[in-house]
Amino acid sequence: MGWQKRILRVDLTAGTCTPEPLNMEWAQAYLGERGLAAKYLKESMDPKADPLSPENVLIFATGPLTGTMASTSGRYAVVTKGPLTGAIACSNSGGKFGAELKFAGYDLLIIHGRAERPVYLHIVDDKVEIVDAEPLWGKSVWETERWLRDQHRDPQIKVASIGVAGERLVRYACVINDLHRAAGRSGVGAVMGSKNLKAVAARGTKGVRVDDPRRFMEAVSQTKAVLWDTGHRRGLEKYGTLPMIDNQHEFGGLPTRNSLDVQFDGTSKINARAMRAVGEDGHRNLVTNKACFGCTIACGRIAKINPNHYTVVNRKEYQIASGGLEYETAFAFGAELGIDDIDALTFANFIMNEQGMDPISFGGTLAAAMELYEMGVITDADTDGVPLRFGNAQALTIMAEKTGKYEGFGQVLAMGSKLMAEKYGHPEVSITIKGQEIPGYDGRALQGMGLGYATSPRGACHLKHDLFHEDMNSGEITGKGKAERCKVTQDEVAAVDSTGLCLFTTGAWKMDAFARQLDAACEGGWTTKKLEEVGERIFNLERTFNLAAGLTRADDTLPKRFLETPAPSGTAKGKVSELPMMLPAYYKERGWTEEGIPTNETLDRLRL
Amino acid sequence: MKVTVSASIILEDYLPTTDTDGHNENDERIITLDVPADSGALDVMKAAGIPEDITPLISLNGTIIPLGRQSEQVINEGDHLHFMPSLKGG
Repeated sequence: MGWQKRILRVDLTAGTCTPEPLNMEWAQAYLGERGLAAKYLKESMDPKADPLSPENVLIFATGPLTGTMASTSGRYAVVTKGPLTGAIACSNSGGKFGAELKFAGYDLLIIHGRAERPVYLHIVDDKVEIVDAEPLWGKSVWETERWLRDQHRDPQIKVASIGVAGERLVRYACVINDLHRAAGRSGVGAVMGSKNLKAVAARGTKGVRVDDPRRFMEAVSQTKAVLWDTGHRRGLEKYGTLPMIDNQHEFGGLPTRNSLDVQFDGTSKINARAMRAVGEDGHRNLVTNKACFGCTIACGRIAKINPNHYTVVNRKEYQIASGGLEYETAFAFGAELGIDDIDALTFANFIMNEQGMDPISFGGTLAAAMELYEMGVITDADTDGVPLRFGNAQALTIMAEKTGKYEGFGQVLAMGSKLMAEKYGHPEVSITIKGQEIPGYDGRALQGMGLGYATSPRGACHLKHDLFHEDMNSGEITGKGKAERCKVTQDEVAAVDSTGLCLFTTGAWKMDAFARQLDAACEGGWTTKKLEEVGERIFNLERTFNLAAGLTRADDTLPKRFLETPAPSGTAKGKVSELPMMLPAYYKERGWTEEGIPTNETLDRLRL
Repeated sequence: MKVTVSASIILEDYLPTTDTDGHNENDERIITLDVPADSGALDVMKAAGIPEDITPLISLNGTIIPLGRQSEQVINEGDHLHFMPSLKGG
C-alpha cells in the first residue's frame, strides 16, 4: 500500500469530478509525487500548450509516504507547465494540506480545463464538489482560508489556495497552503488562477495503510533516530535555514545587488543572530519554530514584526505572528536588494504569503528593476514615484504590496525579470535561467550549483540537485568533476521528491533510508538501486517533456553575468562559470547527445 | 601560541567559555585559545570543541581553507579562525 491507489480527475470546463484507479504500473516506474505527476502530466496534455490556457493540466500530487508515520511525511507537489519558464514545473510544499488530501483517499488530484466563473474545490473523503467562489475572488490567501473554515464550520479543513497574485496571473504566483507553506516556484499559482480555481479545501478521515506495519515502524524508528542525532537537524530546528547567509557571505557565493556582488555587508543585520536578538524595546523577531505534518526537524520560523516599524504602525492585521524569514527570502529581499532592515524583509515575506508570490522570483525581479533604475533606464515616472535604489527598504515593502494586488508598477514586476528586462531593452539585467530567477547561490563561486541551475528541468533551482558539499568543501573553485555528481544527485533528488518526504532529511539519510521505509510501506521490492533507477527515469521524463515543449540545448545556460563577468570578491574572485566545459561532460554522463537529447539507448534503458 | 576563534551561530554553543571571551561588532563570540606552536587548523577546531561530524568550513583570516587542505594548514600566532557548518538547502 502506501498509495491510496486512487486519483481524482476534475474537469473544470465540464464541471465533473471523477475518481479513477491509480495506474499501478506507473506507480512502480515513477513512485509518486514529482515523478508520478510528471508521468500523468505528460500523458494528459500537449507539452506545447500555452501554460495559462485551459489545455494546461494542474496536478496536486502526494507520495506513497505522505501522511504516514515517517518523519517529514507532510510533503506534496504541484506539477504543471510553468508560465514563468515554459517548462515542466514541480513545486514542492510542506504543511498539512498534502497529508489531508491523502487522508481523503487520493494520491493525485488532476485538474483539467477552466471554470467559467471562479470556483473552489471542496473535498471531504468521497464527497467532492465544485463550488462557486465569487465571494472569495479578490481575497487574500489568509482571508480565503478563514472564510472556508467558517463557511464549512470545520476548523480541521486544510486549504491550498491562491491570493490576488494568482488570480491576476503574476507569473511567479504560488499556491499557498496552511497560511504560509508554499508550492512556491515557477508560477504554479498563476496556472491555478488561469483555471479560475481559487482554492482546494480538503478534509480526509481515511488514514494511510502500509504493507508491513511492524517492519515499517521499525524502519521509521531507526531512521528517525538517525535524523534526530545529527548536528544538521539540531541546527535547522534551532536556527532554521538562515545561518546559510553567513556561510555564503563568507564564502563569496551570496548573490548581492542583482548579482553585481557576491558578498553583502549587511548580513549581520538580517541573519539568524539578528532574528533571535532582543532589541532595546524588548522586541524579538523570532517567536518560535514550527513543524510541518509528521516532521521531526521543525525548521519553520514564526516571526513578528516590531510594532513600531513603519510597515505595521496602525496596521494591526500585520501585527501578528506568522511565517518568518528563511534563507532564500532573506537573500532575495536582503542581499539581492542591498537591504538590511529585518522588519521590512519580514513584512515583505508576510505579503508574499498573504497574496501568494514566490519571494525568490519577486526579489530577483525587483533587483533587476533596481539595476535598471540605477542605470537610469527607468525613473520615478515609471515606478509610481518610488525610488528603486538598492538598499531602499520602502521600495521593497511598497512594491511587494503593489505586485501582490497587481497595481501600478507592480503590474510590470508581475512579468518576472526576463520579460521586464526585455521590455526595457536590457535583457542582461535578468539573472534567470529558463526565465526563472536564481536562488541564493552564485554560479561562479558554486560551480556545480551553476551546472545544476543550467540543467534543472524547471530553470534556476537549488533543490533539484545536491552539490553543496562538493562546491564549498572540495578545495578549489572548479567545474572539474561536477558533471558526474550533478547527474547522480539530480537522480537521487528526483527519487526523494517522489516519496512524500522532505529533502532536508538528506542531511542525515542516504538513499537506503528512503528505500527501507518505502519497501516496508509499498509493494514492489524497493531497493536503493530501484530508487536510483526511478530517479533517473523521472529526470529523463521531465527532459523529454521540456524538449517536446520546444526547449533546446540553448536553454541549458546561465546568465551572461556568470559566464563573462568575473566574481568581484570572495573565494571565487576573478572566476567565471566553467559551464561551457561542464555541460558536454554532463550530457555524456546522462547518455544524451551533444544537443542534450536523450539517446534511444538511454530511453530504452530507462523504459521511457 | 595564541589564536582567536569565532563560529557560526549553529556552532557557537560548542565553544568553551574562557577568561578572554568577547564579542565582535556582529555580536559573535570571540575567544582566545592557547594552542601548541605546531598546531594546524584541525587541531584548533578540536581545541575549540567543534564536533568533527559537522564537517565545518574554516576561514583563516577571512579566507576559506579548502577541505582537502585543512589538515595541513599551518596556523600562526595571532591568526583568527572562523568555523561554519557545512549546510545545504535553503
